[in-house]
Amino acid sequence: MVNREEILNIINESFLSEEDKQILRIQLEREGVSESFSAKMNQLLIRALEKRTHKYEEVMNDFESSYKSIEDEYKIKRQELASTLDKRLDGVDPIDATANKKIFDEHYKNVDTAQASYEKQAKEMFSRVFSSAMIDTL
Amino acid sequence: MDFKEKAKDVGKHIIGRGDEVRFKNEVLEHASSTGISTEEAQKVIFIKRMSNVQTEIATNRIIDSSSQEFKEFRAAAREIFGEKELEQFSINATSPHIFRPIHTPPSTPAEINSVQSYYSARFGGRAPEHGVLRNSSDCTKSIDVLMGRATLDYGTIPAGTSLETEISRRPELGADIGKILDMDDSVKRHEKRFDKDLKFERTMEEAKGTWEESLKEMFWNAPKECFVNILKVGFSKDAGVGTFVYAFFQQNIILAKRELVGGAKFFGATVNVLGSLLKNKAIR
Repeated sequence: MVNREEILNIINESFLSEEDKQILRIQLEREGVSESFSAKMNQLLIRALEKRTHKYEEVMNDFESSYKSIEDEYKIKRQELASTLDKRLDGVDPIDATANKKIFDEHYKNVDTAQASYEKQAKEMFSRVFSSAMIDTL
Repeated sequence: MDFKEKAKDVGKHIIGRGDEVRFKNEVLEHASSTGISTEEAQKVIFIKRMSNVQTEIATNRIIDSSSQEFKEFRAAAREIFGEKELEQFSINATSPHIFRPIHTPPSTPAEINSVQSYYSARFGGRAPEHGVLRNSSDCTKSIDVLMGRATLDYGTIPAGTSLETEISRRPELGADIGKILDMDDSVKRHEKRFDKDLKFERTMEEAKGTWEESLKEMFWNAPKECFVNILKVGFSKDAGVGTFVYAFFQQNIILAKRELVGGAKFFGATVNVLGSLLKNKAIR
């Protein structure tokens, strides 16, 4: 038989809201581990689980769509850089190492910038999503 | 070969310049087997090295970054002329007064495709942007043309005149070598850079995976602990929070379906916890 103390610990350490925990504590105090108490606990746990699932879906969708948009932006930037590179190479003699080096120095510098921006945006986005999720799961 | 010279060769092997020693030995062997002077043998072997690179280009249409043929050529040039002189050749290659213009027709789509195939084979089906492929192809073609010209030029150096002497008299011959080495540096630079880009992409993919995992843990660790605590004290059996236990399992299955990897991983973790609880008879 489960004792009241053990159930109280489960309630206190659970992921239920403080309000739900208090409801259960009062009912446990009043009637012990009764059938109606168990039913109430079940109900509140399932409700919290559903709420969490819903929030989780929301957060993951936000994370995935935000990441995709940052990734797409990076891909578009890379396409633009590739197209600029092609155009610039059109006007240069392949044997002119100095001119070619200058074009590629600039191209790779721009790629570095695009990658740094992609990384920064992704980190900032994760930080935002994580902070908001943290508030919801506390 | 005196002791000092031998010691120098051993040192070159140690610092990864064994190709230079190999060139020197090949020159000596050729001179002794044919009876020609070392200087003449040097010309023959150097031209042979260039022909080997040209053969590789004809086969692959690109110089592999780990090409042994080009390494051998570069080592031969270093052994004959020395680093300082090679640097001067590169400077001369940029001078319109020294470097003789060449005409290399633009790379054809087929030639560019060959470079793309090379990258695909080397980097798991991936290849850099068109401009990089095109430049790599252009550089390789120019190397081929320059080597062809150098081979002809070097073949006409009068007997008894060393390569060094001839080049000091005709710096345009050295400028060709300088240009060849510069072009090869460009090809290698592109490959190195592409490798760096792929590493960046992998890092971002890994970061994304880690972030997803962190979010999952944040959401599901607390319910998982609660679920385990309930099972540990036998609450589900005795007093019945069985519906929650059932709902939690259902939840795991939903997660497993939604995110095949992450969810399944999470579900697996729960099953492991259950397994260990049963083993330790914690579930009454």
